[in-house]
Amino acid sequence: MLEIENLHARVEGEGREILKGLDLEIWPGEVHAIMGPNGAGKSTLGNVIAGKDGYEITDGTVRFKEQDLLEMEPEERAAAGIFLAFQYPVEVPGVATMTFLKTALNAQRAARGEDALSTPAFMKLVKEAAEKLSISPEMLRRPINVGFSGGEKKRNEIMQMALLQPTLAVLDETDSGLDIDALRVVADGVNALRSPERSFLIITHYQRLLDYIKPDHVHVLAHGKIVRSGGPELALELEAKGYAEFLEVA
Amino acid sequence: MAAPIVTTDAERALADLFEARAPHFSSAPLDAGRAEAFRRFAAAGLPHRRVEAYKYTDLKARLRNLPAPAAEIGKEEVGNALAAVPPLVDGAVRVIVANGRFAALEGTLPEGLTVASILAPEGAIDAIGALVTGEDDPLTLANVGLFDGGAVLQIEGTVAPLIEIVHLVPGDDLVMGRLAIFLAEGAEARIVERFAAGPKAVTNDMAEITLAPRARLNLTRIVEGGSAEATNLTTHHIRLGAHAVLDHLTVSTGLGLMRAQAFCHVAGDEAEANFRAATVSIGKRHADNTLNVRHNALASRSTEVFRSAVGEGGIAIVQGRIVVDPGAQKTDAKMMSNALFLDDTGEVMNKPELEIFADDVQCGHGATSGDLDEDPIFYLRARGIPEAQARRLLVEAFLLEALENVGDEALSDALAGMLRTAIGAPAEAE
Ligand SMILES: Nc1ncnc2c1ncn2[C@@H]1O[C@H](COP(=O)(O)OP(=O)(O)OP(=O)(O)O)[C@@H](O)[C@H]1O
Ligand SMILES: [Mg+2]
Repeated sequence: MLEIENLHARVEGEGREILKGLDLEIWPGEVHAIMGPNGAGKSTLGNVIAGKDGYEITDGTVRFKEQDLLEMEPEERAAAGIFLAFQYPVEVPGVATMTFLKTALNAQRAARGEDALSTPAFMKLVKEAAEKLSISPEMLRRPINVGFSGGEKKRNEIMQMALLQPTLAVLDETDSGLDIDALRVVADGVNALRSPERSFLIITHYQRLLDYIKPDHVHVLAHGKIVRSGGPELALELEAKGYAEFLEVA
Repeated sequence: MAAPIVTTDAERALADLFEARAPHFSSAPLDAGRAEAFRRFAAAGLPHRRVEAYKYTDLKARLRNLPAPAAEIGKEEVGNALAAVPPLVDGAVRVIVANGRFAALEGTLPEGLTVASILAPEGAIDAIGALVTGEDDPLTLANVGLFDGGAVLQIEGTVAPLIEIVHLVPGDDLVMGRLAIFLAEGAEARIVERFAAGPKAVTNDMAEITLAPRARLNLTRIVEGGSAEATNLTTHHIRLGAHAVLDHLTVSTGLGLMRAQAFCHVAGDEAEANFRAATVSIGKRHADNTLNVRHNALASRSTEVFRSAVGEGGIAIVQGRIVVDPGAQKTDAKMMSNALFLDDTGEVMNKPELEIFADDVQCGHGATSGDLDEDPIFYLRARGIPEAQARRLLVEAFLLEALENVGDEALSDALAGMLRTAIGAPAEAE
């Protein structure tokens, strides 16, 4: 599904590389977790996968479902099935959440050659998704993320994911800032979407999330590359020992 | 050294027009005031860039020649022209001013509203002209000297339906229409004023708007420039009595030259005036919003919010001046002008002025101009919305914030549709 090979990236106009030869392969149905110290390049990886401007890819390839992902616009990637739940979802004053959701859903459908959803069909989908994530109708009436608490913004990201049904979802620290109940709600939202066709890349600092969402693989990202990979037990080991070992190695 | 000021063809044409009409003026007060106003206009001529208030809109240079003055038109021609200007919302009562003269009423006259020609106002409305005596704005002086006709609206109690005033100018003529709107004590109304003029018409309309104590008025002025050669000049003179509330909005789109002025005198204690403007200036458009608010009462409030989007060489000018008179304590006045560049060819000029002569007041102004933020654009694109559409949604959101006080949902939708079309989006929400 996703094949990243020897990926090097830097911020445009900055000399320093952030990703320095990253390799990662994700197969359909798999859940991968990425952990790593602050500033290691985790969000950068998510942004590069989603197609954010401002990064220069100096070497390497990223393929998604046999396509060269780096050649695609962010909206093409979204229509192809990529979803990034942002570490810091932005507030967009003036754009109503419902307008946004409907526009996004129908734009993706149009890009895939599908008909636009009728308003009642759309409303039904949103209502279901919102209820599952404890998002109130009042919140849906607000402009995107405006006045949402940190945790509400994160739940809103997962609601969008549930609505858009991506095939590869990258969750960038979705668990940070969530209370214990919200963590469960979000984890349930993710687990409900797990299927043999759908994959997840979960960036987190906390082993706790992985108690709820069982990963198939855990990776350590440090200094711009994957320095170690393993099973769920690796997360427990990191929790106990920290990253010191990897920082020395790098 | 300043170059000598020469009289232009346009100024000569206006002087000739005044000479030709003067023998026909009556002894009624409105006619009696014409000579003095025109004399004062002619002494300075059309305002040019060395006149501070017209620094960015040099009318002397832009209006070298003027079209011929419009003649009165018949019912049939009014009807034909109106066919192209359907009502903005269902159920509105329409006041048609054609070629500057009160021409027709459409719809049933609701209770509380009286409409008459300004040339034959019902009853002795000696208050007409009260807001412009001693005024020195040249566009006002030209109108007071040369106005073709117009309408007087008197409002008592609550007028429920929307009142839509349509200025119709079917040809490419010179027109100066005049309105006088009176809201009696405690009266409430919603009014839309719009212009439908020929592609090369030059219009200089003026309205006096008087709110008696506790009156509430929601007033929207729509200026859609029909062509690059169109000229639309519109001036509002407003006075608010105690506890009166005004929500004023100017929406402007399209092409050509437009200057929308408002001079507001907040004269009553605890009165409130809110001014909003949504301006789309794309292509051959020079859009000038000039606002003067004067507070001389206790604890009165005003807010001014201007939103301008410019691109393809379009120009937007925002001149906002707030004056707080000595003794106008507890005045609260806040002005904000935000401009958005749609590309790197538009121009924005912001000229805020605060003149405060009282000490216990809260006044402020701010201005921003810039491009759309990249982060929201990426957020929308990451969810599958194509870039052009994402940008339009964000520009639309930026402009629509100026519509916050419209209240009436149908009108708000119509205005939103107008702004969407102006930025190249489908009129319906995408
Ligand atoms: N636009 C930018 N300009 C300059 N440096 C940047 C930019 N974006 C990221 N960086 C730098 O790149 C490095 C990696 O940042 P990134 O956000 O990917 O880290 P992260 O692994 O997600 O960290 P965290 O766990 O704190 O979220 C950091 O040192 C950061 O300062
Ligand atoms: Mg990060």
